[in-house]
Amino acid sequence: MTNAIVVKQLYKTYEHKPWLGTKTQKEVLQGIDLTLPRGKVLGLVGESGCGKSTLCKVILGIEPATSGTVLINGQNTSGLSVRQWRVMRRQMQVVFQDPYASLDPRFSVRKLLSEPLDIHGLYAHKQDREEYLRELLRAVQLDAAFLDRYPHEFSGGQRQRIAIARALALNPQILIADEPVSALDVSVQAQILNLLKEIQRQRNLSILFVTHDFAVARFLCDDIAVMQNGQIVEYTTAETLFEHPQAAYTKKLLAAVPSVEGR
Amino acid sequence: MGRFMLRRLCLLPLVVLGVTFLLFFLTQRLSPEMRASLYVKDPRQMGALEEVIRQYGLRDNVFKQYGRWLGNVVHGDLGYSPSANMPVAQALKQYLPATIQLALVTMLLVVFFGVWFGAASAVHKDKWQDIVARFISVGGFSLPIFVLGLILLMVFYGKLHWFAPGGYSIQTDIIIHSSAFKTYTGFLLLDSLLNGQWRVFGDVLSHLVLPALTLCIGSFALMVRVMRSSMLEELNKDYVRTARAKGLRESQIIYKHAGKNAIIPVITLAGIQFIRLLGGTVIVETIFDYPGIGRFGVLAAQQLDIAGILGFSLMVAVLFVVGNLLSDILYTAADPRIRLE
Amino acid sequence: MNKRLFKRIYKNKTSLCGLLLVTLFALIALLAPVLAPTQNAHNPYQLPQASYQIEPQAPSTQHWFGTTEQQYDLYYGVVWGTRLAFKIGISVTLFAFLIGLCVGGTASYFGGKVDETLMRLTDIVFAVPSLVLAMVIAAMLGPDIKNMMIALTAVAWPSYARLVRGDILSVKQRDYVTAARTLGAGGGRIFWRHIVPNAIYPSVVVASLDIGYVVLTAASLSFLGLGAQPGTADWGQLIAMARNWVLGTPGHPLAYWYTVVAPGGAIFLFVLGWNLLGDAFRDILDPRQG
Repeated sequence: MTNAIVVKQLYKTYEHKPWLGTKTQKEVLQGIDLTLPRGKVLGLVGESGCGKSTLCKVILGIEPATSGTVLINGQNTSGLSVRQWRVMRRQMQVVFQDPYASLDPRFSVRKLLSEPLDIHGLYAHKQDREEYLRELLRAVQLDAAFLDRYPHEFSGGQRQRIAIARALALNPQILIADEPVSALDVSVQAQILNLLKEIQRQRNLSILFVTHDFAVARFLCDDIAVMQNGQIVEYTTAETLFEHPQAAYTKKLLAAVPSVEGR
Repeated sequence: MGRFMLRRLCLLPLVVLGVTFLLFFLTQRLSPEMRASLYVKDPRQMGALEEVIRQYGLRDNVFKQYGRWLGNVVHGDLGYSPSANMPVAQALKQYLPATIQLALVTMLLVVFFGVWFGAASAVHKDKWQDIVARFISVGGFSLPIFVLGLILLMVFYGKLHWFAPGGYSIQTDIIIHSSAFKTYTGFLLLDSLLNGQWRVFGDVLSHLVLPALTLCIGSFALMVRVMRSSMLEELNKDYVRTARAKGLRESQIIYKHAGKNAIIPVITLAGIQFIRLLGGTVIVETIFDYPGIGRFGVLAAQQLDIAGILGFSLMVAVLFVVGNLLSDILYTAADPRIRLE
Repeated sequence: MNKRLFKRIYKNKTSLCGLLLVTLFALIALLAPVLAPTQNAHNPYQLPQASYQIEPQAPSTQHWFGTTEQQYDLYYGVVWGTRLAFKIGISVTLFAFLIGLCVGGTASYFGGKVDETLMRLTDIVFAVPSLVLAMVIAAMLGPDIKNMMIALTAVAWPSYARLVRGDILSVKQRDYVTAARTLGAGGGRIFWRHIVPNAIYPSVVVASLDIGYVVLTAASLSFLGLGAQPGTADWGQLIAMARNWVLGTPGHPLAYWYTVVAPGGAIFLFVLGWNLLGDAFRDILDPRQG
């Protein structure tokens, strides 16, 4: 069985070349190796600015890698044509951090959820479409009456549910969740995490879960990779990590986390 | 920051070239006879234009002609202006000091009254002083300067006979064109003092009053707003409260402490507004018949004096671009929090 | 958004004044044929002349605002001048905005060299005060209303190009655009469905509020004799005619005050209305106000 995502020796360097003067380089990712097995949840934990989000963008094909390979369901993503990428999108979707920013404010929920279907030509028949959209909202525990409302009418948690529904619309096998709960209130965080866990189980999703919060990672993840300054400093199963942290950086971060019970 | 300024400096000549080329391109719509005036140095030559056209190749393509014009400009030859009845270069040299003089006096008025009204408005927030100042600042933005200019002319010159239009009176004209009066700087206000001619100084200043008052209206309105909000901000700061707690007199707090800090943004704004005034001088100088480059430009435009128009535009572009660069530098220097790019 | 907008305008007294003024002028412009019936159906903007007498006549029952030089009726001029002001303001703003939209959109869509070149082009127009540049262009094209509008459009579009470009670039960075990409949307779809509709809205508001400023500049050009020609129902042109009479007659220095006050008052109130409305809108559009 192939793995959902395999990242090998991934490097990403940003170059800034000003109009005058010498160019400067910033190495954001320095030799990342990761494997997300099918049907598992891999947590990627690190402080802000460590390169987590850049890694997501490279895996999603929004930013090109400087070197290294990304395999998605065994297929190498470098050198994919625009068309092949479009097909790839149906296997891998994403939920962003800020639900206030990730939904186009001018689109109704119906339009938001229809967009992926329009792009890929799915459920073209009006009645099928309607049925499917209702099903999507049910999957994220929202009322079907919300279809004709606009994002600004919803709370943060509801918006994030809509974003999750949109990500599920193409029925992907892989989900990348880029800090999906960090912009939400703590009480809402738990609801969304429970929802993600349930969806993961129902659909046997493979999730790459990015967070800065160990408590959140512990709740959801099978494996955890700790990232610092563009490198993976510790990569093991969740259980091992919390019982016997090895890297000094991990210990430091864990010490700073209030106990899970305390949340 | 230094690099950004360097880049701006490199783009500067390009921008000026761009403006003049664009306008030069537009002149091609006009007949070669009209364009010939660019190359005439003497009014007597105006009779034999066909010869001029042939001599300077005015029927060539635009780029060739523009190149030639540029070559002449580099040598200080901007052509002959029929509307001013003298070479363009001479006209610009003669009129520019008067305009700068006008802009400087205007700026002084703007800063003085702007700070006064703005501070009063902030100190007496929501009292009648504030309402008056805010009313003026809203109205000042909307009152066209040509309407204000005519009203001031009607009341002060027509009714009260106080301030005559023009740049100076006939008596002054006789004095400054006599051999005894030496031209040091071209700025009449300065030269009259250097010559010890108090009467000339007073006369020139009195001719500046109405144009400067008219010209200051837009910038004044802006200044009142900026000073008001800046002063309000200062008055809410901790050190003002501390000063009050220490029992300092209110006037001392306002003028010595808050006022001093509140004035900083006003001064930087003044630098920027100085350049913006250039546009307004065109109208004000026309209304008050004030002999500056604005009036020169309008006359040239009205009479389709191409040499005059091109020379005027070149001058304004250079002033404007350099001025903007300087005010950007001033702005960054005054507020270290601002970093360009 | 719209509901909130009107609520804010209604709550704020000064912006309500602005709205009322602009609405009043819009009504005058629409009802001009009723308020001041014209005899000249071909060109209603041509002022009727009572006689060829030079000296202006004071307001009377026949001429409510009096007449200016050569017996042009000021009331007629103010009413039809309102219509002309809207015509000039709206068409110049509209065309300048469309050009700005194309240029700004192209620059931000392609980026790189295209962006650099187009932005340097806008720098060129910004290098001279807009009134001066418009004046010079209008002079070269020849003084009439159409050429004046061309000149005004030519100096107005770069600011919209910059505005649109900046807005598009900032929208381009937003998560929902990235989200659309990860859904597999193509460049054209993202640009037209997500970026343009979101970027254009604030720009349209800002541009439409410039109508007051455009009319002011147009009046300045007419005042300088580089726009509407004598005899046209144009505020700037009426004020230009008043120039000869501001000093009054010996013994009666303010004798012809109405020649300045009637058209001058009209333009002042018009611009004031737009400025008051503009302040309110800018406050609301300011993202810091939430």
